This record gives sequence, structure tokens and C-alpha cells, in this order.
Amino acid sequence: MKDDSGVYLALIAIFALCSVTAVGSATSTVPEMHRQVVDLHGWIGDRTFSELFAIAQAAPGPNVVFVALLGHYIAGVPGALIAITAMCVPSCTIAYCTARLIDRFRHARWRIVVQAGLVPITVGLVASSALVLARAADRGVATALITAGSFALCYWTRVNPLIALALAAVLGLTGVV
Amino acid sequence: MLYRRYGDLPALHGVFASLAAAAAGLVIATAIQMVAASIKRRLRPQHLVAVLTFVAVGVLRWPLLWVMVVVAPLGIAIAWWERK
Repeated sequence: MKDDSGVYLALIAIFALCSVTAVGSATSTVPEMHRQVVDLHGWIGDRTFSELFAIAQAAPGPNVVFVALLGHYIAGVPGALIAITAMCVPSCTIAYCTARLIDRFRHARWRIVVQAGLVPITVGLVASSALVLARAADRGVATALITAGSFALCYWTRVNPLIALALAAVLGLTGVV
Repeated sequence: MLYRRYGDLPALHGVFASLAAAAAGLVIATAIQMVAASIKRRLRPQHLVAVLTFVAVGVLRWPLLWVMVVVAPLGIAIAWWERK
């Protein structure tokens, strides 16, 4: 799409920020990424954002693959490398530096309190991700029904979530969406 | 890469759209499981932090950095107070 240093710098800023502020899992970063790349910069649309997220979920490997896909879609191979580096280096550095500290204070009250204090934020962020992704992906009755079906399958049965994605892909091939 | 090249093909349009919808359902399931696990027995002041985060980030779409500046100290303060 766009290939200039301005885009690269913006990618570094966005993903480094997500890297240090989103507590919890990779899913926690979704709302802020969507706000930045879709709402603020307008690099990609809702459809592309939600579809790249789905590809990352379906692909083997960790969920941070999503970051590489976003970077690649926006600015090609350099974009993917920049995005994944900006995402991983700050948080890994923090993790590396604090791991020993956390281990040493395993039973310290302040460590337990800090960790307990961040848990509800993670819950709020993952719930936000769910809302953002549903809004981006559901554009009609058919897609909304697929979201509901996938939710039911993942929530009430113990099947592998990949089965829900595979069923959805087959439904998509038949042309109902 | 394949997606960037073939994502706009009409035949695959529906596949990607329904994959995206299913992935959204998956994340909703994860979110509700987390909520259920955290409430478990009863509502605690901590849950207010989760609700605040959800409203600020998910509904109002405020910048994560400023939301974190408020909710992280708040969450830690409540956790400290609950464990006193």
C-alpha cells in the first residue's frame, strides 16, 4: 500500500505502545490496534482488520502472528518485520528484566497485589476485543448468525475452536454470506 | 500474502467474511469465560475496574494509554485494599 518511512515510524510507535500498555494476552491489544490502523490512520478497513485477525487465529503458531499480518498488509515485508519487532522487543525486555524480580518477590505482598490489580483490566480488554471484532466482522444477518454459532460451539462444547473456523469457512464457500 | 493477492476474489470473499465472523464468536466466548471465571462466587469492587476498562476502551474507544494511566493504579489500589 504505502511504503514510506513515515508509515514505518508510525508502525513502530503503534506496536511498541501496544506492546507495553496492553496487559494480558495478545487479544488485549486488538482494540488499540483497531483504533490506530482503522480509525486514526485509515490504512485498512473493518473488513480487512477482522479477516486478518481470523487468519491469524486459524494459522498455526502464536496469536502475535496477527501483528505480522497487519504490518505486512499495510507496508509489505518491511512492515511485517517492523511490526513484529516493535511488538516483541519492549515487552520481552520488560519480561526479561522483571522475571528475576518477580521470582525473588514471589511471596511479597506488593507483587501479589500488582498482579491481582491487573487481572480485571485484562478481562475488560478482552471483552473490548470481542466487541470491536464483532462490530467489524458482522455486517448482516448471515455473519451475525455465524458469530453466534461459533460462540455457542466454543462456549458450550469442548471442541477445538479451529473446528468452528473450519465450519465457517465451508459455509462461506457455499455462498451464504 | 495470499490474502493480499486473492482476498478480493469474489469466490473467497464469503470464506474470509465468515471466518472473520467465526473468529469474533471465538473471542466473545473467551471473554465470557473470563468474566464467568472472575465473578465465580460474588461481585467484588475489582469488577468495577473490568467494567470501566470495557466501557472506556471497547465502547467509547478511548486511547489505551490514557485509560491504562487511570485503571492500572485504580486496579492495584483496589486489590491492595481488598487484601488488607
